[in-house]
Amino acid sequence: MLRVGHYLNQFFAGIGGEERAHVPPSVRDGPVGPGRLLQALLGDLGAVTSTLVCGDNFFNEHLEDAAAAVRAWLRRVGPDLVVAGPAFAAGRYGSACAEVCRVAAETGVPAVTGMHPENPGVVMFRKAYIVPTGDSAADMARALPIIVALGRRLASGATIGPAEREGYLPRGVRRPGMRERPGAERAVAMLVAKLSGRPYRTELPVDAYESVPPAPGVRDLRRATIGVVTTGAIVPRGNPDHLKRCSETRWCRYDLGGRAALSPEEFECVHGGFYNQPACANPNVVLPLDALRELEREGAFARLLDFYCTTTGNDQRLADCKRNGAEIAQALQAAGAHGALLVAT
Amino acid sequence: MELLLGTFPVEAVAFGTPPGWTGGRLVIDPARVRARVLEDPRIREVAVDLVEPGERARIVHVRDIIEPRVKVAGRGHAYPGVCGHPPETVGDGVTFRYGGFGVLIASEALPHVRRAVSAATDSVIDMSGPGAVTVYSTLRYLVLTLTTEPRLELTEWNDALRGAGHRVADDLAAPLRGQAAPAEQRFGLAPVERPLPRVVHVHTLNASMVPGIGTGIYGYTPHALPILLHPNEILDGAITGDAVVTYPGKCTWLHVNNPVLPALYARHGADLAWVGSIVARTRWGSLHDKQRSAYQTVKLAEMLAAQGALVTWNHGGNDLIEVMLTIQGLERAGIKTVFLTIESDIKVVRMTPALAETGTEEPPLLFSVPEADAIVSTGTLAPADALPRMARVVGGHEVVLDQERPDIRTPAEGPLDLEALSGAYSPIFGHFDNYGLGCQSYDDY
Amino acid sequence: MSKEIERLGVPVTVISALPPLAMQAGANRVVPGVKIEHVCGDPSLSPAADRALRRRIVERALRALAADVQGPTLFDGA
Repeated sequence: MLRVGHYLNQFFAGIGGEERAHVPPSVRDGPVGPGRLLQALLGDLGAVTSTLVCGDNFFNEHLEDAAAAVRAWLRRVGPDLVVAGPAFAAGRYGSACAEVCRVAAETGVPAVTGMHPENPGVVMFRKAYIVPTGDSAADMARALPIIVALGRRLASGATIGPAEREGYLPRGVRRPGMRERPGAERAVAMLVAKLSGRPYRTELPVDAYESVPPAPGVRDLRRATIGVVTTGAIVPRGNPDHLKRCSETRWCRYDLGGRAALSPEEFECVHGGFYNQPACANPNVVLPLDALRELEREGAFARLLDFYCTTTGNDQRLADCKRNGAEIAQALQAAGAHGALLVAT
Repeated sequence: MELLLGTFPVEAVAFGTPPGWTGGRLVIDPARVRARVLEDPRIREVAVDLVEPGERARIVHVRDIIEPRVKVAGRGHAYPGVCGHPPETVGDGVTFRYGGFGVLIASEALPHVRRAVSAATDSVIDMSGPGAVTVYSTLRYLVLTLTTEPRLELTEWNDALRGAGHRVADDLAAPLRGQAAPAEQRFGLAPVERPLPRVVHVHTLNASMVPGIGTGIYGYTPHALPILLHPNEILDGAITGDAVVTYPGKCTWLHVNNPVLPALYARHGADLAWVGSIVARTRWGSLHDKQRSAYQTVKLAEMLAAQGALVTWNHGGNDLIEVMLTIQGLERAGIKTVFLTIESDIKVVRMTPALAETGTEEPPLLFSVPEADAIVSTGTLAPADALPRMARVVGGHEVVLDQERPDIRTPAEGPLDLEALSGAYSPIFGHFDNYGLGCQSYDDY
Repeated sequence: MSKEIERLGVPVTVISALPPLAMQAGANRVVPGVKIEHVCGDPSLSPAADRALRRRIVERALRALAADVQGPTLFDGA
């Protein structure tokens, strides 16, 4: 028998509306509110054994406490499956549901939720299994059976098929698969559909990149230490560390030795992704040491770090990009850099 | 323009005399082939081999594949503008071709070529086994393993290799002139009988950053502003690859066998009116240049009164920027687009399920625009498993899998652990299906 | 890569010949470079003009470092 734990906000639990959004987490035995429909859908195969309720404001404003409460609930109840919401268009509720799914995943408990595709909760924990819903509870009767069906498959350990087929939102994971017709035919068919106003489905949804909050600007540039980095693969002549022209996984650090400029006798460019002859003839066009030294001498900033970091930004794997970035960041910070210039290729 | 394309399927190839095609069997005179190749004194040695699908064979040092074609009637020469062929406009008349067969140029990259062009890698084609995942594993080949003068300058090396390939291909195709083709297709953009949506094919084409080599249009290789082609010109070989780089989208065989062309032709007059193919070069060096190319492509589409556009590309990396700017420009001009694309295997290390679950926060394409809302993905064909030992190797004895370490040479018969030895790109020739020959794709999970 | 440096609280100015690419990837301070092959200069100019151009680009990059921004911002001197 499938033991299901259900998460609800204050509204769906019947506690109240916005004015009760601050209520802390509490646990009820058995199903509450829409949990009763959930129970009916489970039929003989399962039961909603426990319901965790929390006010949307409490959850979003006390994330750590809320997560701890979810963890404690999971430990106490030991469900085979967690169902969160569905949250429809309610943003704080959607975020809370996503977080519940994340904690459940952390604890190894399968979890499923539902919300409108534009609910901000969708991007909170991308790996969550989210069934797309309409924007209000009017969609409950249609959406809940899909949520239950997916939840049961997750709990059974069955291999879950593609998002399109199983009815959940893409989770940012792509895997190879075969389609019925060759790509050229599919492309023409998709164009004909698009031109005639018929529905079509893109095979590659394009989402936004992760953004990082900007670091505050350097307060007093004239007192600042600046570091310089390039993905343009500027290396000492002879490429002593064999930095690859393409698909490099590492980064390298080279001393500048107080030089006023990079000379082509001592440095070269080994980037394979562009015509690197100009950079070999004058490495300063990729690592602008001459300009930096001139400005350093004039006091535009206090000090240039006497080393630079470089890698080959040509078909570099994202995982390597990130790791190199993190290590270079540490090297710059450890050397006291207040700011960095990154010459990208 | 109307082209009658006659196909002579090749179901078996053998060495012998007299050379010729009868009933699916192609007989090749190896002495004649060798003589044609050695007409160019820049080529020191040539070995000729026949390789067929299903063999436990691996072909290495693949430089290009040419499908022998001959202009039987009408203006111009197949593969115009290259290797001494006149640059007359093609696409009319009658052209005969061999189906399922190619002349494969194999030659190891000279050391100075490797250093100058990092994309001049060692590519392999496995004719059976886990590595036989591309269309190239399904063709029959006459492989020309060429040894050139060792100090040939890059463009000379390219010319020598390509010239040999085309001379032999021309020689093999010539006898078809007197024969009746078992299969014929007619290609033309007849005026449509009722109002149908006007569709333009936007065939973006990488141009080399290294002067003097790369894919060419009537042999013209440098970056240039977009040009309008009739699809029949592409069918007649107006777009050809070089013998230097090995990225899949450059292959001469692929351009005349581009499945987008028959796919659009099949619907022309039925649910679309195909107005032509705009060929726009990619991998311009500055944003300004990329924008200019994109703007001009959009303008050409507008002048053709296009309502829809099927956009393709044949490379990777920053070429995608002008492709996406073009898609954005087209959509903003009210022209609905579909983008047919590969997915880089950089984001997925290997196809094994565990590693495929990368689920990074970054999107699968290097760059995109919100207007690119209709994408068909051909994924990637890079296999998950190591390539096994092969009984037969043609084209060379050793492969270099790290261009930075050409001193590290791996026996070509294998086994070859591709992941450990190469990088983000698979050395399997044709591992990206640029134009959608196959059904492989990616799904979201 | 610049995001990792920024994550530690160190501001970064990315000098790139393809600002849309850098900005879409989330770089918060971006200064346009000349061309992919020579981001910080132009070998077709005289050495003095090339150096002056390089200096202007670097100066702009330093000014961007000192500025506070809300998100990906292009510093193109406009």
